[in-house]
Amino acid sequence: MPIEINWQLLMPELIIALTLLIVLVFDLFDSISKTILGWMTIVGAGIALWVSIQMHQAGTVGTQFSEMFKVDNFSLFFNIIFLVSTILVALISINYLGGRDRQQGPYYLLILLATLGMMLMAAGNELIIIFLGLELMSLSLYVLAGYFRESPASSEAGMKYLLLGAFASAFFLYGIALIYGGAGTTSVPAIAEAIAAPNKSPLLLAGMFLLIVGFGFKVAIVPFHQWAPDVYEGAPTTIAAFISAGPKAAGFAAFLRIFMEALPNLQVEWSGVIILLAMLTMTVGNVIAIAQTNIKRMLAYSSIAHAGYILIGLAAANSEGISSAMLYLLVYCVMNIGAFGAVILAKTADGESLMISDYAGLGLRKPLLAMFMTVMLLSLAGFPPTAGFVGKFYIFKSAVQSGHIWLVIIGAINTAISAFYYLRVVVTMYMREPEEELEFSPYASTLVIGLIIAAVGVLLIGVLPSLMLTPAQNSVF
Amino acid sequence: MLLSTVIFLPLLGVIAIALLRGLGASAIKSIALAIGVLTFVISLGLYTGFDATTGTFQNVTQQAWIPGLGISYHIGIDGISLWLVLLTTFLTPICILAAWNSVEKGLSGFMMSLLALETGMLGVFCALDLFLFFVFWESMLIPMYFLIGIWGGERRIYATVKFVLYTMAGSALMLVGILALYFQNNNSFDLTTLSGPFSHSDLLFLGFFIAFAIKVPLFPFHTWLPDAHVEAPTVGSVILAGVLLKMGTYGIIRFCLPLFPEAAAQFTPLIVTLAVIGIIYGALVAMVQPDLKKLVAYSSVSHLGFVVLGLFSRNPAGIQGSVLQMINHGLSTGALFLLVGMIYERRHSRMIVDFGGLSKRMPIFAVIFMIVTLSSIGLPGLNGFVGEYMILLGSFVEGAFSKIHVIFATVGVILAAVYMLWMFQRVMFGTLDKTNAELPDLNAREIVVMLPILLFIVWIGVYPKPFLSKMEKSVEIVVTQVKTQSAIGHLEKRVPPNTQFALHGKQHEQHEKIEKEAETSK
Repeated sequence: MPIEINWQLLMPELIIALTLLIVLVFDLFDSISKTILGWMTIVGAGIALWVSIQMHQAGTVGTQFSEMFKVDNFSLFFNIIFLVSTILVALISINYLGGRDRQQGPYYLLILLATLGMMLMAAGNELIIIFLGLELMSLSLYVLAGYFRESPASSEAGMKYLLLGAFASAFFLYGIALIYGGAGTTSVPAIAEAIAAPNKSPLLLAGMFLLIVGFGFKVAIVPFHQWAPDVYEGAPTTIAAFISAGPKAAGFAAFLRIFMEALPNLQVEWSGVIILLAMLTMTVGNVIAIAQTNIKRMLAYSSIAHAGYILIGLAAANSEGISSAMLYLLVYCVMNIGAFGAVILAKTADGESLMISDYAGLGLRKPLLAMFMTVMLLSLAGFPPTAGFVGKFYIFKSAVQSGHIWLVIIGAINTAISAFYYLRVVVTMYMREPEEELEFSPYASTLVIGLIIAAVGVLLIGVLPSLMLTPAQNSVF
Repeated sequence: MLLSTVIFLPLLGVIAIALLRGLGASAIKSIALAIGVLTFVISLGLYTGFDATTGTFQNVTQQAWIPGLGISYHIGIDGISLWLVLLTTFLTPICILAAWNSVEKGLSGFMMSLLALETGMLGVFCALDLFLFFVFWESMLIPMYFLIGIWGGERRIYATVKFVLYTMAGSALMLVGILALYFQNNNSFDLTTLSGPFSHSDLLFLGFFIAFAIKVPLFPFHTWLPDAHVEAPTVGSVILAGVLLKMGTYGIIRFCLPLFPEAAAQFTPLIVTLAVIGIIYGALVAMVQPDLKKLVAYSSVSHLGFVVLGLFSRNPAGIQGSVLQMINHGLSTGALFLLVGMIYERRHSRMIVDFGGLSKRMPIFAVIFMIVTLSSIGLPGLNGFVGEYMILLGSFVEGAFSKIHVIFATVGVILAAVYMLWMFQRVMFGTLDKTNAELPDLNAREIVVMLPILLFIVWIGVYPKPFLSKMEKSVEIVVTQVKTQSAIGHLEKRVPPNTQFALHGKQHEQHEKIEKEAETSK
């Protein structure tokens, strides 16, 4: 039987695949400047982004490959998140990789592969497809985390990520197997139908918990978060930015899709767990972040805490909850990549300055850099009028709507805790005198472009939230 | 439109300074001052255009902002917020002028923070949408954080972080309260459509009240205040005491009392006790302070206790007195901080022991200081008296709360005279120390800074009617909201006509009406 393929539905994925091939081919020519590969990535992802936005606005819906692949506004909105992250990461990478000519080709190739994997995860209507996407993404990320071979820290990060990630994948796959055993199918809508039957198989419950563990690892939820700080610290900073953004969004895309669409009938069983995990993740992430002196580790713990906020959206388990989680993921990706970008921008002659204390006096000496960093940190802390505030507000609102007042109170208190360590960086930059005069390198052009885009995005969504809020509200499956 | 202009003109100034910062210090200062004065002049239009015959919101603008969440850009002022808006626009240019020569580093940032702060504060007083209110409430923290943290004293970082964290902890709970109200208000954040009774109103009341109590600050939430005040630059202290603290008391009038009248009645004994403790405690601690600025800071705790006391009397005299006292405190404490800043600039010390006999060396300063001190004490004929008198009168009305509270509060008035006059005596009289022998008297700029404040200190003291008449109707509305919703029988609102405050015939009628209602309900 010939398979009818609706190419239009697959456009964003195909464009990324094509870009990937072009980058692969051009990498063969030594005569061209490798920087061009970065720009190709940006252009390719940009076109895919534009197509995704068009499809989202048109409200394109459809399935493909025997309903294994589903394009709807949900997957398209996540495509937008992934592609924005990819573009921003490519922008902050171009200068970062400046001196490493031979390594640039595979770098962008892997980023595009990971992006493709994420898009598959968001569009997967079938547990196996989601797993395929997850693996495609994860394998690329393992390599990227250990990308700087000559740096022991980077190699260590790659190794750690690989080992723990492989564990997580195994849990995930086992969960799929058990769910298949209980429901007799791996198709998302079919699982939902199968569970509707009154006798819920214990296999389903076991599978569901294993899925939570698997996702917990991938999106760094406490207590499955231990890999995150080490990997973020050791990995190249651009990759830390990448891992903290797109893949986390992809993990949540699949998380939301599976739990809200395939397992809504088990909500009684999973909502308590999710609420507990959300509280734990926020609190542990924020409290440990206070103790960090290395900014990359601090951002790692902060990103763990942010996973907790997003879990509130899932715990709310209503359509507002889903759209608020989506909006927050978008906002979070932009501000987190922006924060890592600012870290890269604070470069000294002997490498990046990663200790928070190195930033003393930056406010007067490097006002532009300090301003970027401040905007991103204020947004992460959730101060108005930034996007971070709107995102958090919307998430809290959805949880209040479903009656989880205590969850919201803990979330709100966590916001106050997080303000402490975010503001501490601002304090260091503006209010402390430097102990030693560090020579900061001049600004790198594409990095500044990336940061300007991120900062404008964060402020624009903060002042006019409807720009992204309405699309997010229209994206609930 | 007029109100939006007033709110956002300072923000325009921020952008202008950001773009023109290359022009040099004097240009930056001039732009800031021009914007500040212009904002004040425009805001006078709010006063002249204010219709005092009705207490409802005026100059209202409502426009969809985030329709997906039921949030609109909804602003307007009533007779209460009118005064706080004017106080803000009045104090800001004074602060800019006062900081003319005292900012050494980052002048453009300083002026930008100050103007951004003005927008934030004005927004808080004008917002009629809970979300909008919260946005302004939180966003005003950032410029204040920079003002204290960058231009403050030695322990500025500790002070500014403490200030921000205290406020954020309070507002976290308020955020939950706002969200919970939203779902009881047909999915809208619009303040004007909110009407009780709400379920869990006692918890909601506490959620809002703690946020405001931290800001006021009510004992025992006051510990951030002395730190913030002492470390803040002079201008930061002026804004902090003059306007920021009023955001707390304003919040109580705007949200706690009218939205949750039953909870307010229920918690009144506790809150009033805390307010009285604050009055006495603040005064006693102020008495033993060796540091002038700390003394003024603790006097704020005491004075704000009076304001809270008046608010929870929940009758027209008390609330009007409180609103007036909010303005008075803004003027006199603001002026005190300015004066302390002026001698600090000369002597680089704020320790009372370092001074003495200054009146001989600085006569103009001494006269102004004397007037402000007396105003702060509440000398009849100056502004502080009118406010405090009305508050105590309102509180003494039977049924508001026990008279013991009021008696103790009155002791606070005496204590105020003790610590203020004693401080004045030690600084101004006695022998002039050699190190202080060369201190110059106030210069023309400093006199220009002080004169407008003195004008209002005397004006309110001698003829408070224009101030009270504009707020009267709005206060009445608040009082009716409190009364109609809380069980009148419980509160035993009995107001003997002869205890009426002579200035107000209108209140008289109000009280009689309530009294009749109380009787008919029996």
